[in-house]
Amino acid sequence: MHWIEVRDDINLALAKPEKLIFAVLKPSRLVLKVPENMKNHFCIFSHDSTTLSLSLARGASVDLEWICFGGEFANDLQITLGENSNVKIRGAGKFNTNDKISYNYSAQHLDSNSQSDFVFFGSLDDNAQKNSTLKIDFVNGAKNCIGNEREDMILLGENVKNRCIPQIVCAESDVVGNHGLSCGHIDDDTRNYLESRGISEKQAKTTIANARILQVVKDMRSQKALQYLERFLNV
Amino acid sequence: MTTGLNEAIVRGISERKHEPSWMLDFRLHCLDVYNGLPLPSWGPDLSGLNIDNIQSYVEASSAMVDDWEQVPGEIRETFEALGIPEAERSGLAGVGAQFNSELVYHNVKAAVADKGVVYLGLEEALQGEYAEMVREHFMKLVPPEDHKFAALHGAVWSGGSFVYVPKNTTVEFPLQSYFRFNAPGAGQFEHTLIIVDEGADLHFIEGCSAPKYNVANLHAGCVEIYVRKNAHVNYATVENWSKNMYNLNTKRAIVAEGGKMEWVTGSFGSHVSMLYPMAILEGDGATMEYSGVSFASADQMLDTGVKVVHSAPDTKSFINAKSLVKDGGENTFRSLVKVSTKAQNAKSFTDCQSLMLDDRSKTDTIPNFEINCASADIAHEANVGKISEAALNYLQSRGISEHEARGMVVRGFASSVSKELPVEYAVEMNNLLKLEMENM
Repeated sequence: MHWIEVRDDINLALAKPEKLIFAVLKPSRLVLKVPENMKNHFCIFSHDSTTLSLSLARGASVDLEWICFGGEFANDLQITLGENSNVKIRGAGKFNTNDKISYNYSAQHLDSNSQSDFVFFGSLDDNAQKNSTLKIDFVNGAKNCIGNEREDMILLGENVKNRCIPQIVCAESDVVGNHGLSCGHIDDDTRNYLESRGISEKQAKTTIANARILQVVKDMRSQKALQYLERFLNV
Repeated sequence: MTTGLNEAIVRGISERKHEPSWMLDFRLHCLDVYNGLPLPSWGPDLSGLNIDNIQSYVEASSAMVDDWEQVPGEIRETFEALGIPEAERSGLAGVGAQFNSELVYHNVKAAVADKGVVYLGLEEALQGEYAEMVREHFMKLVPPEDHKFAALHGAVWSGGSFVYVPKNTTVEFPLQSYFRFNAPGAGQFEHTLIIVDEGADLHFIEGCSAPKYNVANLHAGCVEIYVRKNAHVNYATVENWSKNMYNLNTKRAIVAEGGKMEWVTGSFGSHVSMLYPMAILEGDGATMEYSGVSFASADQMLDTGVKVVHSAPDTKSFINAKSLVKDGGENTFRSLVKVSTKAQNAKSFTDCQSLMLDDRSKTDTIPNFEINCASADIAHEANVGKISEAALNYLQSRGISEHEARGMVVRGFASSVSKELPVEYAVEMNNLLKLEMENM
């Protein structure tokens, strides 16, 4: 996988199938255009505000892992899907004390037979805030499309603020759209089990928050990406 | 016939009703608030509604009575055709029937009144034994500053009911209010105030209808419900306004410790609806359940949903919403689940399903979650799709026509809502669904 440190806007029309890792270190806009029938794999580590505009032409396919680190910034992921294209996005974020993160995700199905899948796993520690809007948009004519979006947040601290608006906008009957949201805390069984193994509550929270991120990237098969991640997760 | 809205009209309404002076002051305050508030910047298009063309008050031709025989012939015939007197005889504890701006009939059965249950026209309740109770509660849950149509309601409200159920009293049969529009270009602004005291139980049903006219009608009613400690209220509405109606109703309940509020809603009519029943769960262990179905067809924009605020520990909310669209209709499900910092161990579950019956229509799902408590458990799921081909094939293979099969699937889709209604109203809802499917 090719590693790209991003400190400014990038506009990329891909010429061949690539596996790219973007580490966004400064507020930047990534414009990625995937041409017909091409399959690509991307990973984005957001240390700062990330605006992604990803467009898939007919038959294109993208797998994307997106890791959002803590801080105070907004992200915007806009996906447009052409005929027979599909995108699968797995995202995760570990938001620590006093972090304020927002993200918008939108998948617009412009033509028939496309599929979008988005899932985000996150954790919020003391005083952290997260605002998110998710949107699946089936325009008229987007026949036989499937759109799935899901967010799963675990609340680890006090004074957290978790806001989410998961939307489905549909002007076509021949579609399947699903969204789900769940938000909870460490259950007592898990807490008791970890404590019985000598793991403190603080360590347990760290382990659980890290696990959410690692489950997203474990299939990347990029040693460099995993090492990079482990530095930030204090694993 | 005076249309529009100004101070003279508001004063005229108050004078006709011989209200206490505080109510006139309140109406005038609401008028000021109305003039200062903008229209909502979100939701369906309200440009076809011009208040200057709406008649805020339609004078009644007779006084309110408690005997159907004394209701003027034409009005009585209207309600008889709707089945209201028959329903009262067979299975209701009491009925309030409103014709345009005024109640024409209001009655509670003696056996229910003997238990101390109060069911009066609200204007009557303003004057007598319950005057202070009404004043203490009137438009405190829905203040005029809430939104423009709450303020409009406060300025020109007329008719509606007051219900008080004493402690530990169960009203075994439902009370019903029925609202009938008969005047083109009119507005209806009834106010329903319900107080169910500790440990009491009430089932209340609201029905409404109107003939279709070529001009807009406006319904901006208000329902305020106080569910005291360990009390239970089930408030069911089957709305079938004509398709020239702007239905901008506000319904809100506040639920004390251990109390339970159930909203059951069927929205089939109106040209435009903005309707979001709400519950504030302010006592430990308070609960809200919402079951609603909304069916938008040609020339309809139904923007409906529910709101719940968890303000205390161990509160629970369950939301089950179904929507259907056809023939170019537009349906929006809009909800809010808000969990405050004090709502430890709050639990909320939302299930929202939308069925598209053709590709000329539109359905949007816009749920909103604000979770400010770490120990809350919140889950939501929604899906949108069309009638399953596999289900249709199966039914047709059993000799059922495609048309009937579609009807069966649609009724099955809405069944989790209709089963929450008394059987007569579930039958009415199923009939409305059948009517919508027959027009396909």
